[in-house]
Amino acid sequence: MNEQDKSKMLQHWPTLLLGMIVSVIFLLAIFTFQVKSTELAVVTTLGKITGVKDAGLHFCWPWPFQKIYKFDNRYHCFDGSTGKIEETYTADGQPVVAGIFVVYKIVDAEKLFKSLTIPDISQAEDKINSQMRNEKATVLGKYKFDELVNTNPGKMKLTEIENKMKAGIAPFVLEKYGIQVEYVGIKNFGLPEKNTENVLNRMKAERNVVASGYRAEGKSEAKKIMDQADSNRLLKLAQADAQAKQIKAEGDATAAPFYAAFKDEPELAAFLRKLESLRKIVPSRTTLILNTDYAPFDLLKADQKLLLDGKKDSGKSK
Amino acid sequence: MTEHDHKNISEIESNGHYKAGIDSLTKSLHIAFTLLSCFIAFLIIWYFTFGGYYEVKPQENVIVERFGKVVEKHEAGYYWSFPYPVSKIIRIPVSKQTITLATYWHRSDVKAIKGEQQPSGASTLVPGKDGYLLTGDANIIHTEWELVYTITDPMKYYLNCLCPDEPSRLDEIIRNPVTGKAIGTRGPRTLIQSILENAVLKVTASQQVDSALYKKSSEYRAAVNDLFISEIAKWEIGIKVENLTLKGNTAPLNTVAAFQEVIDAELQCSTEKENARAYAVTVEGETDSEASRIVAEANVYKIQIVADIESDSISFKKYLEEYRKNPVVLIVLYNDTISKLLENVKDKYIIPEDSNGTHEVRIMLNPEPRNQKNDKDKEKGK
Repeated sequence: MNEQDKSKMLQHWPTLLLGMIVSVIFLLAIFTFQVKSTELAVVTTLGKITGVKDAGLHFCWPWPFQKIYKFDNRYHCFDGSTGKIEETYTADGQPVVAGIFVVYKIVDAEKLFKSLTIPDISQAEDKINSQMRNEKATVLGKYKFDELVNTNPGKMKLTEIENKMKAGIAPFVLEKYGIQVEYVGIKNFGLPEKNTENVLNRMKAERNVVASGYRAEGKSEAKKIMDQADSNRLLKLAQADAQAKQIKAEGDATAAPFYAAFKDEPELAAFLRKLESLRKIVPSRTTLILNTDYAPFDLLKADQKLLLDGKKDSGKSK
Repeated sequence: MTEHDHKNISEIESNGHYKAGIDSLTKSLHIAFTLLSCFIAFLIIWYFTFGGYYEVKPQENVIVERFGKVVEKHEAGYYWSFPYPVSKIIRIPVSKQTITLATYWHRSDVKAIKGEQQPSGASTLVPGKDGYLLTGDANIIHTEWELVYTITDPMKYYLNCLCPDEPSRLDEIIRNPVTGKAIGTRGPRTLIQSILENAVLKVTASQQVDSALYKKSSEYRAAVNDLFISEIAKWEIGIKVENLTLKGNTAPLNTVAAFQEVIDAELQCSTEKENARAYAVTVEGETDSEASRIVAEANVYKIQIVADIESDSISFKKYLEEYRKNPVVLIVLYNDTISKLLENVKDKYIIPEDSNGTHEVRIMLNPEPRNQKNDKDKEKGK
């Protein structure tokens, strides 16, 4: 480089710097690729797998020498593509309809890539789906219907069923596709359409029985409560009567010594009591019918003795 | 180019004919190059300065990836980092998210949806179309849930749970490659919803239909909530359950009337019991009062009888004394008593003896009732 070139370079350094920056950017764009923290990247060189890269900036030869295939390695939830809800049979021959889901993550991107004809996770999911359908039917066929639904939590074995399904699916999927199945869960569980009609009819019949039971219970319990109340009433009143009798007897016993006074003239005592009774028992608005046999109305009799005697006496005196 | 051409050009140049044009073109190109350089320089300067600024809103957090690696997380504010492709910012919503779970809810017919009539319910339920749950006593119910959650750890959420490129968007829809029909979704909401569905199904499968529908529906909701929270925690996807609501629960529409009948019967049962209890309380109160009255009367009797007899015996002694002195006192006493008695008696009839020495009394039974109004008028007149 002669002096003239040097002076030209110094004169055009900003342009050169700019050109260099742009060149670096283009070179980086062509010869590098980024893998995110949530991905695994399979690198193929001329069609052959030459590496699996995780998060970061990596060097690569540009297309068509090297190709990059990225797979997301976070939790995926997949509930089946075909046959999501299928009819199957329990151990006691009850037809049921069940749907399951799996939660998985890709742990071996190379194995997964090798197993796929096109590098698309949907293709892998289709294959997982076949395994899910098989295991669902197999495992549900080993359990009775009352082990799937039961009011006694100890007898309900849904969690055990899910674990068995996982045990059937996970090793196969890991071995074949490099996918780790973390969880298998049941998300749909029902009955075939024709059976639901019977269940609905049974439910209605059961409800009628329950309603009748409630009505009968209401009447019966109410009657029991009322009978008990009446019984308690009678008992309490009987107790009160007994107590009252006792008190009255005590009163009578206390009063008894005073009766001795009446022994002196019982007829007089009886007479005085009668008078007293008359005062008490004849109320004010009473219609009283008497005849002239009783004093003082005996005076009204025409043949009253004293009057007659008086007339006789006056006749004599005349 | 022939020698003749060169000669012509030299002649033209020498004439200054093209020189001005070439100078002008050179000048234009120079200006264009300078402008382009300035523009590129501006872009580079902008890239390293203002291009890296971004705002984080209060309802979101931002995760920064540098060359693909997650390097930092930012909360609300204004930040700078190298723009794409060096850095990539991922916005994670941290405001409340809602998932409505209608998987197990019934299909209402169109008229019912429009509110024109109550849904009547079909006689069968079609798997895959009619959502429902089986209870522990092998009955069918419909439930609808609403989950409200927040992303409390955006880093865990982003790193552990498959998200769309823009995590604030809804989950990706999976379509059948042949028919193009949607066959499912893929994303964080799908995972959360599936775990919730699993919890709902498991809890319902151990419940009695009455408990799940009305008797213990709050306990049922709490059991689903607890199971879901424990299950979702295992996945460490950085979410917190704010609230899980049982939006709706009903028996199959076809059986609703029968269930209503049970509710009515139960209500009637409890009403009858309550009425009976009220009767019992009333009777108990009345009985207590009556018993007290009986005892009180007895006590009064006890006091009165003693007092009466005592006073009677005293007065008897006095009468006896008088009687012994003069027996006529009895006639006086008798007549006084009769007189006083008759003063108070309203109607008095004295029946004389007829000629045969007998009395004849005719009493009209069931006399006409008194006209109370006339009586009152008469009394007022008086």
